[in-house]
Amino acid sequence: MDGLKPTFVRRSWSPLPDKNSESSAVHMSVPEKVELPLQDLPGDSFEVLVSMGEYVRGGQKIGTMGIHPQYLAVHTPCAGRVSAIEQRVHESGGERRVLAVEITAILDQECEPAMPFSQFRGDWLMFLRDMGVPLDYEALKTARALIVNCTEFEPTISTRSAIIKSHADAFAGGLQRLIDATGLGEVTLLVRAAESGLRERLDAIANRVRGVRVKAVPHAYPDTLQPLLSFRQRLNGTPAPAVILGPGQILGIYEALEMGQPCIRHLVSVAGSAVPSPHNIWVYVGTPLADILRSAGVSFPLAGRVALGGPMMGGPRYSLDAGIGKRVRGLYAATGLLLDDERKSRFYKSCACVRCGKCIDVCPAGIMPISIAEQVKFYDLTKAQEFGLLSCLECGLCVFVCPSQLPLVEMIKLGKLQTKGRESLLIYNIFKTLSS
Amino acid sequence: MAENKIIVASTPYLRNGETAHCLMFDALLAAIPAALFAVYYFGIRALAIMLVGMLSAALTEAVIQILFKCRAFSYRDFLFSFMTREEITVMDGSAVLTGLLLALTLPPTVSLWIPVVGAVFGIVVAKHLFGGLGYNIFNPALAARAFLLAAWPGSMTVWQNPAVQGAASAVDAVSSATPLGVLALGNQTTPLVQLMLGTTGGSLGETSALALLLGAAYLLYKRTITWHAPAGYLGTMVVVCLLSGHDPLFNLLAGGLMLGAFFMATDPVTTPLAPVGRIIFGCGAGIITMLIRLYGAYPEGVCYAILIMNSLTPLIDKFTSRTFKPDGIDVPLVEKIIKK
Repeated sequence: MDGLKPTFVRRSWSPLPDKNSESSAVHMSVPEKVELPLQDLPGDSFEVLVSMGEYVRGGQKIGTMGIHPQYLAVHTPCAGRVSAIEQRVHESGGERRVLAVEITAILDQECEPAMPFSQFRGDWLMFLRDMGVPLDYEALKTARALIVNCTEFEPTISTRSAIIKSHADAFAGGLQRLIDATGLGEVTLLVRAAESGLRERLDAIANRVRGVRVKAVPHAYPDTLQPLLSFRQRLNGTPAPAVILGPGQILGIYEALEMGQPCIRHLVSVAGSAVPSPHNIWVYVGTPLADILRSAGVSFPLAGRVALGGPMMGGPRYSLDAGIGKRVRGLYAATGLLLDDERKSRFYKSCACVRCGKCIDVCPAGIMPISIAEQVKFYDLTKAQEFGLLSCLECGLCVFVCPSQLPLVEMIKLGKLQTKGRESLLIYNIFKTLSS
Repeated sequence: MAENKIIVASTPYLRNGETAHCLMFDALLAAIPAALFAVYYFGIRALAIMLVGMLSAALTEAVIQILFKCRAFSYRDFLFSFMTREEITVMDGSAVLTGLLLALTLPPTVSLWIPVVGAVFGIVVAKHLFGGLGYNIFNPALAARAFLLAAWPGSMTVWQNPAVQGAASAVDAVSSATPLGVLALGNQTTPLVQLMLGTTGGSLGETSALALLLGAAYLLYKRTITWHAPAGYLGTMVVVCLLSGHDPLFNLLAGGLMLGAFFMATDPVTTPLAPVGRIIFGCGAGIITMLIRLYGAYPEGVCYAILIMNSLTPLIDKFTSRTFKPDGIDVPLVEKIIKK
């Protein structure tokens, strides 16, 4: 009933970052079983390089998503035996199925020695594809400028600052490698102005690497910017002015090019009300979500919500069996019995729009969410596009501030789905492993 | 092991906890300094007018919603139905706010049935005939005041100034004009200090600029209102005053301008959505107010100015919203970084 209680404190316009997640990162041990999908969507092309029952070494390439030259290699993070190559239910549920390789780990076997760049035939982009680093390769080829987004939009995720703090040298090295290889003239590190500690570290890095500048921005930039730029390029041919990467990807580039280490491990923030102490965990690709949550101290059985990413832009999950993808930087698990719409106080149910215009004031994309949602409600999708339906970043800030509790983002996503199909849903695209 | 019970729901899951009735409560709270000053200055009768206005507005809305909006209302479990049915939104405080704002625009000498009639008109005609909260075109409080002024012009223009008449009670109140009325009749200006403090004649809530500014500061701090509409309104007033050779400060502080600019022109429902639209709304209201004050028969023009601009709100919304080409996508966040 907190909405009924008058408060004299000003309501925030963006979710406040989680203070708990500043502790140092934990390494998760090799899971008993990993599930590595070879398709993002049913119908995508793929290649399997192993057969059922075969023994694989840790770090071995077991297949590719897509086919040459548009592909991304998939490596097994652990040594073990291929225990299943089969169609698994896709995250969207229902009849959609994607091919996945399941590997039962043999825990005492070592990782195989890494492959250096010098032994690889082909250019460095192909080498990164072969190392399975999840980048937007098409965008990297055409872009003039590079933006490294070091801000965290999601309140529960803090992997970017954690990577910059713990791997500053590798981060600077990866940036240097990227600039040398691509010849990008303009490299910008984005940092939130409020995070002065992180900004000092980035300033030090910018001093070491030539051609890099740090830009402080007042608000965090959502992760959906890069999918939106790619979508715009596919839709109407507008060349993207910049390619946007994260520190995790820069670190992946460094580890692949310098050490020849395939992308089998990445940092994930586990948070939410079901997690007793939110923290960052280095997880192996393909680890089942249930294992990650269990190692973070979540008690089972879990009653509540689970989403990949964070609470603002995350992708809701209905099952915890699937393996974690390469682009997923956060796992959000919230318990609660009052999450159900039926059990909410009626003050928290959506009511008529009072036209306060807060969604417009807060929107980082500069569109009018309420006008678009109204048009989608009346199935006038042409009018909705005129209001900028496709420019929406799906960041969820309009829902965060809406006093009438309107499902604005859901309406906008529905409109996008009906006009341009699944491709235009950015929230899905930020977790898609092969994006090009 | 028991099954996990996972609720699948679309993100975002977080909200800042603000609800529509928080906005109404904020506006009520912000009006309290002006209301308190009215009680202090005009006496206990001011309190009676405000209470009658608020009560009759809330009662009217409750009756309308019970009779016409809520199909499943059970008279047997009256209290339970009243508290739990979603269609009954009188608890959101918007009707109470309408009643209070209406009372603040009434002269202190009116009979107690005037606010009742006004509140019923405002809630029934100006609000619920248009579809209720969120759908009304005109500000209910101002529409009610305009109706009362047209229907009972005699009792709506009897002003009282306790500072001049001493201990004279409302019963034998002599018609003493408002600062703007004095200016229109005898070309006398009222000292600015009196206008600031509010020790002049006028409507209940409009006299004290200081109390209204206090409330406005709270609303601006809470982000319940934005600066756009008041800034456009007051700025236009200053410019027009300077161009026509009038005292801008006097025109800002006299009459119902402060009440109108911060409490009526910022009403979310009846004003434009986009920030630019709100500025245009304020500018238009400022020009119309000054036209009425300079050339009109009424000494005061805030009420009609805002009502006229209310009717233009859909038009302003239409022209201030950005239009995108088909398949057009704009990414202002990235362009901001790349250009500099």
